Amino acid sequence: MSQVEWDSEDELEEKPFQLAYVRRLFRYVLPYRRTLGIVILIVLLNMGLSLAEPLMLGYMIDDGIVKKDFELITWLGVSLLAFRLIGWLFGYLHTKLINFTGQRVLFDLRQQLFNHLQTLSFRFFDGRPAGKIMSRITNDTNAIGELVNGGLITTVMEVTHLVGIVAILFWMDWQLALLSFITFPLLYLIVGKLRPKIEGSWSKSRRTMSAINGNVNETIQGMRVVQAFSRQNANDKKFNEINSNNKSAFMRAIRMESTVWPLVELIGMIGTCIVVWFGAKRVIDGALTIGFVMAFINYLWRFWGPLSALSKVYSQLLSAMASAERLFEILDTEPEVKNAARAKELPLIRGEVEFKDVAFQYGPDKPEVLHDINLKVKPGQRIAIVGPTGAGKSTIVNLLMRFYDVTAGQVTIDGHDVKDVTLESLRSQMGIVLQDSFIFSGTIEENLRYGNEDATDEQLMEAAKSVRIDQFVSKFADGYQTQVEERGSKLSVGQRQLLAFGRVLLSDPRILILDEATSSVDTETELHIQTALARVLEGRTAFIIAHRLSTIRDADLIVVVRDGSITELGTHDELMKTSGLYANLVHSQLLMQQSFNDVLNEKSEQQVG
Amino acid sequence: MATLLRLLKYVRPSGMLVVATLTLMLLATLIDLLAPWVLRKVFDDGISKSDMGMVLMLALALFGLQLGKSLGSFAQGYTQELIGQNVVFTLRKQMYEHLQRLPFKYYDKAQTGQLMSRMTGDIEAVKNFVGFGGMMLVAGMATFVGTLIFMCSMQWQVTLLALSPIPLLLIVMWMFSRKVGPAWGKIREQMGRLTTTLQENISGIRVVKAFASESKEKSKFAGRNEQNFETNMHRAKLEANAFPLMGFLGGLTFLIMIWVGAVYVANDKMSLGTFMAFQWYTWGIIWPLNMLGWQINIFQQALKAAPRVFEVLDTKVDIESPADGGIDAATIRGSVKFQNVTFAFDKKSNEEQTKDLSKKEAAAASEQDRMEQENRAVIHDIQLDIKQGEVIAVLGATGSGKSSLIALLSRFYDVSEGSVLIDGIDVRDYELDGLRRSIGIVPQETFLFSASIRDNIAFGRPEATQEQIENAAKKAQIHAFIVNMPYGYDTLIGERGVGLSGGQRQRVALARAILMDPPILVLDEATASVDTATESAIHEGLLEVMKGRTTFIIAQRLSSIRRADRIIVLDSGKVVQQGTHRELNEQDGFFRRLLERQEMAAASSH
Repeated sequence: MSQVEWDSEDELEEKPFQLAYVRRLFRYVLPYRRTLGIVILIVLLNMGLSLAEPLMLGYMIDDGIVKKDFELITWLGVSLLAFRLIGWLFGYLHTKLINFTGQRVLFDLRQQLFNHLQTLSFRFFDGRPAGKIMSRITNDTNAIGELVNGGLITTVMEVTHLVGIVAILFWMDWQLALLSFITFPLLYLIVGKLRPKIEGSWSKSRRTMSAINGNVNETIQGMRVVQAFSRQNANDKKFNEINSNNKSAFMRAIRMESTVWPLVELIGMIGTCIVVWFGAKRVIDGALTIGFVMAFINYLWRFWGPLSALSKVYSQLLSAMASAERLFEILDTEPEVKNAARAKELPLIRGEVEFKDVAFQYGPDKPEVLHDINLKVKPGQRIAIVGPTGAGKSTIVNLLMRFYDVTAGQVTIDGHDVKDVTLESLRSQMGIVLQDSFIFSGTIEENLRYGNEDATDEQLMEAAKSVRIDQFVSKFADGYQTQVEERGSKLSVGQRQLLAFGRVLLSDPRILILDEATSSVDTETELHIQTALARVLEGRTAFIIAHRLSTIRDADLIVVVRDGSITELGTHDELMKTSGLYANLVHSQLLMQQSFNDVLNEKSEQQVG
Repeated sequence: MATLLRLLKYVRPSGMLVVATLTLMLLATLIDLLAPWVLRKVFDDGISKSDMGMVLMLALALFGLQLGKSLGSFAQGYTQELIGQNVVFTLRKQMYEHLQRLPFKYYDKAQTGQLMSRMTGDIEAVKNFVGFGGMMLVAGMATFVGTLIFMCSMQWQVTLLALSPIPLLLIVMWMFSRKVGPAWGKIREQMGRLTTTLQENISGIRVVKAFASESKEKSKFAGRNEQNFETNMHRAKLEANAFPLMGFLGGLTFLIMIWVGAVYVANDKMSLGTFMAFQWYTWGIIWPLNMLGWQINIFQQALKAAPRVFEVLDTKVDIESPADGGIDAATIRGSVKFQNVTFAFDKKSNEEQTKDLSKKEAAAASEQDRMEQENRAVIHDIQLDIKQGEVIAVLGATGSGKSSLIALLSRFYDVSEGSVLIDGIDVRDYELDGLRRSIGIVPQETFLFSASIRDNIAFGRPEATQEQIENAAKKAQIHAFIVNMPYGYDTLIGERGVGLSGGQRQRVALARAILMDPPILVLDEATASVDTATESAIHEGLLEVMKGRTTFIIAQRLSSIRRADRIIVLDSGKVVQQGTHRELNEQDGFFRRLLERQEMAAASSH
């Protein structure tokens, strides 16, 4: 769908390894340090047991089998069995506790992210596709959960394993040990050269994946338009392209990745071969026993397992780092609009609103969209905001709701600067009906009660009646319990607007804001709503943005906004005396009315004639 | 089982790759099995006989074997992932293409979050099994069996004794597999729900904030999150019960082998070299067994994820071109006829109805259902005859069925009864894409894509020239606005670009429809968010556009319907009035009330 490549945002340089991130991630594990401590203890004990095994086997060969000491064989057998039994118990505890920790960290991280998202301002969401934010809360947190679940313990376990093996090898025979590690510099060189390339190719693969997600998400959301314009074939082609991109990026990464391990094993084998040859020689010379060489090779063999595991943890870590970066980016985004340090509760709103020299721009690099707005509203007044599309009408009411903070000047309610009161106390007393009415999945009743769960059934019915929801609800078999589906897709656009309206009315706002709230509602219903509103709004302040003259005319104060400035201010009668935009608007409506009548007459003449 | 067979069908095109991967795996297994054998020779033929030449040769042989194995495992690492990727590629492609063809009815109920989680997480789970996981399973089994054969050929008594814990292990495995399947199913479902909750919250964040209900949302999400934690812990518990036990039983085989082996060697019933080799071979026994638990997990995840994907693929596309391809819609001129059209959204299919009812009950139920359907219909028995080039205004109260009526024209839904005809031909007989292309729609809710303005306008005609695009934009009164933007027609809009106001978005959508140059034009409250002055300008511009096209205008404002040749008033899905402005003005009804109100408003304005 989108012609834009979705990966631009993810082109954040994926830095190989960020200690700061690791340290920060560690803080999420800290609350579970006791559980984790137990797990580590268990793992270390288990490791000790498993490291002892080859030694015991060597002992069994040299002292048991060769010397035919059956008692020793039995004793060794029994202790090996005991080790395994303990290993079983340890394994049980380990699996359970580490899963608990990993899942708990995942839970905490997700919840923290979600909670933080709730505090972020509109501006954060303005520029971000929902799919992207979602994939952070689901996929990126998962990557970190998995790191804790698998990676952390594996690292502890395998590092001790490695250290243990190396120590034992050197303790057994340092010359043989040195010989077997002779190939290591080569290994280091090769892996060091390949790794950065592999990392690069994995991050490319991840970016192509996020392109797929973005595309699918947008296609699903815009499906009705896609089908209306029969765009399926073009979309198929586009998707095929990004799907192929993902496949080839992934396979490229795999191609590189799968060279590493066989190469490592091959180089390691050189060491083993040297040990076999040299060890055999020493056995023949009588310097070493067979059991000893056997145990030595056994340990050497075991050396590669942890190395392979650690290399997997490392790539897991890298991918988790990329995720961590994205998560921390969200967590580090300071909410622009937030409670001031000494924010107080806004007392019950009387409804006096003032805009003082307000200017606003959406971002430092964006143009100013409101200039020098001054407006004084008395409690209980009804204000109509009129103006061409894009003039800044919605921006004005958004500032009143404190969805954004003013760039200059001040917005006050009852003399309190909206910046000085808590957001909760401010917004819970205001009600805004947006033009794009978002309805949640759930029943009609649940949606109505969204802003006021404690409303009585009478209140619910009254709110429903005043916006005429009752009229269409009665046609549904399940009445108010009808499921409206995601985004209210079961309802018509007009019905959705009514539901959104009812939802706000039920929340009993002290100040009501209608942002083209009834643009898709028929005039008859609208008239009914206006009558009802007059009753509901008794003594409350209201801001109304609308295009229909009938909605505007009776307002106590009409504000005309043009290019971000208030150009006219006054009652209908006052404004009609000027020759401003409003008067023009009314005239043009009148003209339209006349020409409509002309149409009527003209047609009738034709028909009569 | 059916799921598995169906998955196999996706693997079949990669048949050669599977054969190659398995061959490579078997080769690697064989080499792994040969290595201990070589080692045995080192002890039995080299060291015991003090033959250093032999030892050197054997050491070189070891290296040679490893070289072969490394080459093989490089190739195998590539081929096995390619199989997985091939399957994923196909599944994604099919799902995407299918999603694009599912009817509106499906999207009325679909949850974006669930669909997304199927498209990503579930397909990924399938891949893990089909590629790497499945191949490892085969390799593991081959290694296990191969090792057994090797060991039996060396010393069968000890081998068989060592195998004694295996039946127990199989039982544990089987029990685990049975329990962990449903657990994974729950986790996948849970994840879908979490995603859905998230999706709603983020999409509706403006409403959440407007109602200051963040804390309520937090606790709602915490609930989902907690459920997710618990389902995962349930799975972890199953794993904790099974995996270490399986590890123990696998280790027991090893232990028996060593113990009994040691006694055998001490009694001279077995050579020391064989004993050593056995020690290596136990790897071939333990590795596949240790892997099994993990593979069961992958397998069960795939088995639970695949049906979620298939469910989408199996959803019937019941609105599509006729089987024979349908009549070419390119020649559509634009006369429209609604013939006894009735339409209900949730029409139950006959199969669904009779599925769990006896015949008699079904008959009664179907009668009841028919009546219920009658009640629930949003369009009742509509008759309309519209000439080519006519401009029809559709009026009516909110929810009276205006948009539904229009949706039937483009076959976004199919009629329940009756038929819709264009140029005398049932819309169901046309080739679907062509039909929809010949109907230009400006929908009530504007959806613009994250792309440049140009691409958005050219959405239905990507091949349009700049001149054509600009012409369409001019007619929609948006051209002047566009050229004033920083990058003109290349300015990005939508989620990642410049925010447009509601009215501006509607005009872009209007230009998009105009560019299609369709014989039939549908304006569904296309100018509701536009101020009156712009609106009249748009309608002036549209005058020319509408010339020769059949046009449907749904609107609430009279200014929008001034130019209509005929007005249709809907009420509860029925046509209650129709006629010219004058005719309707003479009847008492919706239209006259509307007219009176607006006149009143206009009059009192002066």
